[in-house]
Amino acid sequence: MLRLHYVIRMRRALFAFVVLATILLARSAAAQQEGEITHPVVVHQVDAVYPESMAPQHADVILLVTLDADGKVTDVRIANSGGAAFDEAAVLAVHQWTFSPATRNGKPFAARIKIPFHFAPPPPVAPTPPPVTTAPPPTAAPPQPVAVKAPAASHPQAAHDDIEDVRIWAPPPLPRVGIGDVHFDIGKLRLAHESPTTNASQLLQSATPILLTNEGGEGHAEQVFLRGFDAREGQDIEFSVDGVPINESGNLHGNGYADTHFIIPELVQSLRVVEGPFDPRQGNYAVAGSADFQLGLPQRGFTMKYTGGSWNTQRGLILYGPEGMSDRTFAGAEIYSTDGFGQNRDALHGSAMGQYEGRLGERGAYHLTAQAYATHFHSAGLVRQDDFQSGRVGFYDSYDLSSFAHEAVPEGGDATRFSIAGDVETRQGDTTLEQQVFLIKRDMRLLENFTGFLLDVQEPLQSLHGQRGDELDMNSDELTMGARGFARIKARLFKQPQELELGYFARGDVVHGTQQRLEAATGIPYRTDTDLQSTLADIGLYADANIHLLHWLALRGGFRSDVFTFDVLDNCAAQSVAHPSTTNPPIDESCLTQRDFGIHREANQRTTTASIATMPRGSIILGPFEGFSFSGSVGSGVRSVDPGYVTQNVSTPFASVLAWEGGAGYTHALGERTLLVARSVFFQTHVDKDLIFSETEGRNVIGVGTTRSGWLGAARLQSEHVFGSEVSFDQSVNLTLVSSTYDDTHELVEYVPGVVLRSDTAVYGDLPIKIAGRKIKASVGAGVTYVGPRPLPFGQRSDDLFTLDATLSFAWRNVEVGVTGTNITNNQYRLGEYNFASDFHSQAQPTLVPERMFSAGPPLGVFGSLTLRFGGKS
Amino acid sequence: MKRLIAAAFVVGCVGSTQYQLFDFAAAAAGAADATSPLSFDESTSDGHVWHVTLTQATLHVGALYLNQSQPVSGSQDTQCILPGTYTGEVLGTSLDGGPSGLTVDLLSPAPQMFPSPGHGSTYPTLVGQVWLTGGDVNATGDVTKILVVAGTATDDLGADIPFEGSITIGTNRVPSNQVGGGNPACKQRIVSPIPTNVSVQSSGGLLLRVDAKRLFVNVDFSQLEKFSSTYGFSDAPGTATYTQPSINLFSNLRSAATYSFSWEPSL
Repeated sequence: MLRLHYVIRMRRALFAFVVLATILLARSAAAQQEGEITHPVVVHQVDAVYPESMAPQHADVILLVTLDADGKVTDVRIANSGGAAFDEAAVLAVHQWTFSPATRNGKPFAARIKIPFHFAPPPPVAPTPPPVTTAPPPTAAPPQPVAVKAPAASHPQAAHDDIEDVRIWAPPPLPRVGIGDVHFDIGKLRLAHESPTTNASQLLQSATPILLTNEGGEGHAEQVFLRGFDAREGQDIEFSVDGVPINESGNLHGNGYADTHFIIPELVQSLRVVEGPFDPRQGNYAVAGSADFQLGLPQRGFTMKYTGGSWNTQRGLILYGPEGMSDRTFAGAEIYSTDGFGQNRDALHGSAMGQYEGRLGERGAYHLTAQAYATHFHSAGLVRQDDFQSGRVGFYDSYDLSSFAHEAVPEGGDATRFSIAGDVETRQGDTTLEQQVFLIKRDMRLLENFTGFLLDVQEPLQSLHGQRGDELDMNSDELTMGARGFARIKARLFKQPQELELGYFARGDVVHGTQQRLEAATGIPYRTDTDLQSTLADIGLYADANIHLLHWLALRGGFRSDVFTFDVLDNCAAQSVAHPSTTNPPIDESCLTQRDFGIHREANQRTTTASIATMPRGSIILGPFEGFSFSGSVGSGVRSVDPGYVTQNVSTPFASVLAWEGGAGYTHALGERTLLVARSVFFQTHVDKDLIFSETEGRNVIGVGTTRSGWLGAARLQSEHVFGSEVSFDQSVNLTLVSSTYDDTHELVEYVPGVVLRSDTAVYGDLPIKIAGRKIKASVGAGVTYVGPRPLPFGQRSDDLFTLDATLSFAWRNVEVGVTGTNITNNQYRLGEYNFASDFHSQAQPTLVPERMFSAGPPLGVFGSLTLRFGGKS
Repeated sequence: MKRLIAAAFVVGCVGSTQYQLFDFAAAAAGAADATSPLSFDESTSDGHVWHVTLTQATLHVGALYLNQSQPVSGSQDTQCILPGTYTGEVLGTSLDGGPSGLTVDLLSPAPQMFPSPGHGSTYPTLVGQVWLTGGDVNATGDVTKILVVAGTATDDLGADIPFEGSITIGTNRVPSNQVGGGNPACKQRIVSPIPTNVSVQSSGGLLLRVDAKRLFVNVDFSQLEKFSSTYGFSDAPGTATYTQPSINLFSNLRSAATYSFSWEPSL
């Protein structure tokens, strides 16, 4: 019956969404005559001159050109360089062009357009660039998306101060590393992630089939499932933000722990996801793949946004993008607080990010980035299924606040992250050079209790005690510094453009990690599990060749090789002694100073070791053929070991992955304003030492080998001015089907979902309603997630999972109001489910047998938002 | 293509993990040959033969546990919580707010159901535990009567000794000021390890049989303390009345040989 109600609610919600979208489409179609746009047209053009100094070759340059309301060129930037000489030639030419301005309803406005140039020898003078129309440019190079910026409304005073995107699509270039290499522009699909609780990791759901769960609270990294991997808190995915690593080497909770909460989601402009270890640039932790958050702020000027709603959730956001500067110059800050749903889920955090892009003449650019983040949060932890069913605890309750398993220090944690980074990119002839440095200070405390009162058994040499509680108090203080760089050389061989990139990556981490057990009644630590001081280094180099044998056949790949060194001082090296002193036995000590028969030892011990990992990677790419391209890739990757597993002079036991994939992609421009991109990939990945969740350790531990095989499909359809109306939409859907099995038993790997489906939808356009002569814009967004039953230990499966989030917003001039619903079907679902033994004193006798545990997913949440924008162009 | 996607969907949804979890019925009973009253002969080590007639024998069982590993000799075999994975548990939690656990009539061979079902995995089992407690296994103030017996013992000369006894496990058997983890209350209350190869199955239930006859192995009734009209077992260790029969009765109560587990097709 409950299921039936849930389905009915879901259908009603979907029906309401479809009706709303249909009304929006219909009304906007009727209104499209009111806001007809004409694009700029070239009135006078001067051909770019082929640089005399350059040897005969082909080169492509894309310029970003800003026109004022008179059609004059006011600003020129290089969107894609073809080399300094060609860039200069193109810029020189376009400065001499004049245009008739873009108009809406006959009124001119400022616009920004992309103009591609293609240089081809001979003759020495470059061919005429295409007229600025909505058609793709007639060049031999891979065509690029063409974007035209147009004013939002016809208000005469604000006409050149208020600009919106009007996109005209053309097929994008081929992926660099096969079909599994995804460059994803978030664009309007941000509407599917409008909840104030959204973090940057959740944006990944739009780009790739991924499941995120989190039983650790709002300051705890999301648990990530990708392509059949239980990557826990990101240990199997190489995360970065504009190239700066996020994974935390040496973090006790998980080596490679990746917390993305410090990223302000509105500042993520695009994502690059490489599924699998197929790109030579990928380094440590790229086992399931890698994900780079690329920052940018298209909206110029000031943006102020306030969001409030369910569970006393409040979020304030300010963003600033200086006019006249690129999307990559911005500043943003947010403050967030919530009581959280149910019990013990309150959280607060603040985050600030700023970036400046400067130009080094026309030949390069540099970026300076600073970031600060701090959070304090609580976590409800897990609930036993039998306790929920018997009514001893509620679905959204926490044992920490119960009468029978009260924790003096409830679960949760604190975290801070401060970082600065800078990069410089320059071009010298056909060579592009880039250098980046970064410095990160990260501290984290996690309080978690998965097993309740189970592990603290009475040992013979301990003072008499009952079960004092299994709460873990884990701390990690980390300082990370590093650099990366590359030289990319372009040349022309076999009548085709060739490319070679040589690069390096260097990173050092100084980490102090401790883990103690807290007494539930007092919060006082009674045992130290771990106390490690680690100095870790990862220095790698790579070579990546991009060889075009024919115009439809490319070989891409190379190798990456990394040196990993470990210097680990274990301050709690001995925790048990078989034959203690009979006269002075160590009572209740955690870090012992006795060996067998009472012989003295120091409590600490240092361990050092080093290893080299070499990872070859390669892809073959065929196409495009009428929009279709095909690729096959093979590669290997590694995940470095947890410092706790290091043994003196023993080669570090890397977890190694060997993966292959084969697939097809399809890109097709349907008319001038609609673009379809789709891909289908079959893959298989083998890991020799997978990470398996241990409830007693409170984290993943090294396990046996596993293999996952599966299929991934994804499609995105974007269209502007559907059927000539004012309505545009963006629809993305992706699906993964995978089977993950242990190599020895061929049984399923626990907790890894076999089916993950995600759909993101954005519909937006103008309403036929005017206030003070300005139209109201409306946007509707929806995100749907379905996850099939996940295998659990002991032959069980979890429930499936379905959520629907939706957003509706209206904008008029500089004001936007919105309402967002999360889990709008109010489906009571279990976000994470486990099977293991735990005892929370909920019954008369200890519960010692494995039992279903779950973390509750959030119920229906409703949030309203108000956004004000000042003085900006987008 | 549709078939391919359908096949892939199946791949994502099939397969399993090792072992299974089940809830199961659980009961306890006297020995299979138990009757009321129960008559049997008992020989002591000095050659006396006692003809015993039990008219009352009840045992309060707080919980049952099954474990997958045999503890190694030494400290492990007396640890309250065994180091291996627990494969089954019958917690005796009352579903209607009544007292937890089960008071078993040992003179009845019929299974007597625990107030709530057990829970366990199909993992292989090697040992079992019987928790003789009325509440928290570590609480020293528990006054629950764990064992109650009454009857008559007749020696080979025809002398009758009517007897009765109530055994508790509380402050009387647990020192109040312990250090060094010496002897917690749970060690007195838990009968462990009880060898068994019973494993949880998808159907049927767990049955604990308690052989009342085994409680009186080597009990010399002639040494019982005489009350006004009957003789009694002492429940006060360390006192002058706590003699051979009382010591052996408690020792037999905590002996693994008194208990046996079986998996019954139906309960």
